[in-house]
Amino acid sequence: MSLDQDIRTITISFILFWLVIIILIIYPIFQLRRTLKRIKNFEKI
Amino acid sequence: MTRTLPKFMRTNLLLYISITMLLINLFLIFGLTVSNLIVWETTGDPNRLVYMIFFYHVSGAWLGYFSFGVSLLSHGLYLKNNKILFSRIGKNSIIVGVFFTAFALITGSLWYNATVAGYGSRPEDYWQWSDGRQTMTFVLLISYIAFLIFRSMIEDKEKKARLSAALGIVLFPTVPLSYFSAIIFETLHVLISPIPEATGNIYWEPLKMFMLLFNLIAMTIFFVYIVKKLVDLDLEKEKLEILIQKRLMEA
Repeated sequence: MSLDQDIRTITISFILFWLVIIILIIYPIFQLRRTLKRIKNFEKI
Repeated sequence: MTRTLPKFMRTNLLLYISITMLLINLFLIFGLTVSNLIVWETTGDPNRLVYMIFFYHVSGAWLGYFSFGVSLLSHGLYLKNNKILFSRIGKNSIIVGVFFTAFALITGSLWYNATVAGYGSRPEDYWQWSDGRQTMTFVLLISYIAFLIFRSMIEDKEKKARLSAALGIVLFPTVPLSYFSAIIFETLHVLISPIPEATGNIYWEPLKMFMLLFNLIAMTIFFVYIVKKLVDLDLEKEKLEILIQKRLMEA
């Protein structure tokens, strides 16, 4: 019982950790790309 | 700003280093636990795998505290030098800190729930308001979320930077309060102890401490990379805003 719970707890925690890492990596990259694209479009006008 | 930075700050090198270190550590945590080279045994709660959570929970909490420390320093420097870059570093450090403090709180609750029987609580319990560390860290998290909401509500850039710098400094005492709450007040929180017999605590084993330190270094490098990226993003967003205003003026 406690082993199952331990495995479940560890899995959730480790997935959550890597999820936070991935979100923090991806968010600025995509936002930067979007912003640069908008700047480029504005400069074209 | 970008041109004056050393090459490793301009590339993704810091990201590659930190991710590699984190992956090595992940491999070590599982490898050494499976091969019984590190044993998760505390007095009164023997052989519990759940204690593996320790490396990530502590790393998350460390990065939270560290981020808020950097924000305090940056906000202080902004008030002294009036350079907007410091305000941006301060705000972005807080964003990273909020993410990792929330992570530390969630993993802390899960850890508490998994070991709840040892504290004589109900199996469905995830939260204990009477616990100093848990409650104070929650107060810390809410305070810094409020900071981000407050900052986003101010339009004027100068005013935004100055007021948020002041607020960032005022909020900082919640960090030492959260840290020392486990020492000052009565707590259920597990501590790292140099004494092997200390009930419910994690023994100060050199291998575990090395792995923890390794993770902390990796996380700190990751923090530098992310804050740099978020500051770059703010710079480009500002460029866009200026461009929009210019076009509006022309129209």
